[in-house]
Amino acid sequence: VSAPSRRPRFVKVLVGLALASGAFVAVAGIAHTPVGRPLLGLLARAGGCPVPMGDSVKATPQERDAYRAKQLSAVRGESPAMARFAEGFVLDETTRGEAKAKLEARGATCQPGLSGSLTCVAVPGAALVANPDAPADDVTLAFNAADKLVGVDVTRFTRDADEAAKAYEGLTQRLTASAGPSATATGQGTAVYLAGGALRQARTEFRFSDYLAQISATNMGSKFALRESYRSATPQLTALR
Amino acid sequence: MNQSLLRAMTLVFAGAIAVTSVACSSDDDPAPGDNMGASGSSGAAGATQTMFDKYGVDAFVAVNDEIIARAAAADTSKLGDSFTKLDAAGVENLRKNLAAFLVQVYGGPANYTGRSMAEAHKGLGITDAQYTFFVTDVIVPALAAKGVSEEDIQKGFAPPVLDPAFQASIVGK
Repeated sequence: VSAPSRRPRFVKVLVGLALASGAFVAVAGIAHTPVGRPLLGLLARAGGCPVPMGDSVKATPQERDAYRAKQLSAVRGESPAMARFAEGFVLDETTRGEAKAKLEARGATCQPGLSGSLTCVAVPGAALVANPDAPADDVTLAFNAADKLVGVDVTRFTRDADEAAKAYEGLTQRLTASAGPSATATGQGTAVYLAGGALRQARTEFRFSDYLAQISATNMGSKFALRESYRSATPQLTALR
Repeated sequence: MNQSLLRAMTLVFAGAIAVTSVACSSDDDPAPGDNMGASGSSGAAGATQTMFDKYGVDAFVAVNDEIIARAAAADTSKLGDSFTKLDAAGVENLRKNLAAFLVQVYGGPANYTGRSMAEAHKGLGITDAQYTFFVTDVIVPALAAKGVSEEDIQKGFAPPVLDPAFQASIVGK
């Protein structure tokens, strides 16, 4: 085959490569625009991206309620709690405005959080109930579609193992007395145990038909994280859908 | 990409790092594969034995599924809305990618093709409380539920997730 006869084919290959490259760049570019992101989502589902969905996903308050109802149906207990402690708030009753006003009146800084939640930082202990002398680093409040409180999540950090253990034990005793017996408990709520190694954790969970609570104290290396989580588990949530 | 989804998925992958990485460097941009073949630092794991060697693929799959289940069970106020819209195909895709990531970082076959940690963290605004939530309410319970010993959690899994530089690469970005 002579050289002149091969040149057109070579040029065709080059042109083809250029067109293919151009098309790839164009598709990639379009895929990263708001209009083209569904395409990126499809590419992600093909396994090339660790995130399986695109950014068009945003749940409505009603969808969040439905999701919560589905979550809770899998974990709620059989009998109702004697009382539903939630750090001074009333699950299913306190409104967003009431909660925000209460916390800000005590000096907390609140702003919208994830998924319609309210997140407050540097919350004085006096704004809460269980540990009035210890400020909370983060208080996140979740609300349902009717803007009523359905979740309270409190995070405190301390460098003192004794303080973490004492707070953990105080909370578990308070919940046991007010709500009823715990469903599960792991680890030991003692300073010696918690200080014994990184990620040592004491954890107690309460599961009732209308209320879930979780208390944990975890060794985070340079500090201890004391976490409280209270959630409404009222079956009416499902009926509202 | 959707912010809440990215936040949640980043936390999942941050959790994956916590679960799988053993010898995270002080580099504030740890990437998948940085710790490939990392050995367990616990005496029980042996000097040259990786965590993948020690626990095997079945345990990795079990921990992988437990992490996803616990993340999916979290209230949306903690991880965002992403899981509310994740269909069966999306969950399966997540399972595969996360499993590949776990296996690769822990010394198994290198089949992970997803994004680097640095890319996944950009613009997510993850707070210290959210990071703590993922560690205390997803990672630690998942490891414990699947039978990982306290010694391996403490010596093998805790160092990277509690490393200040690693946390700084995730929180507040």
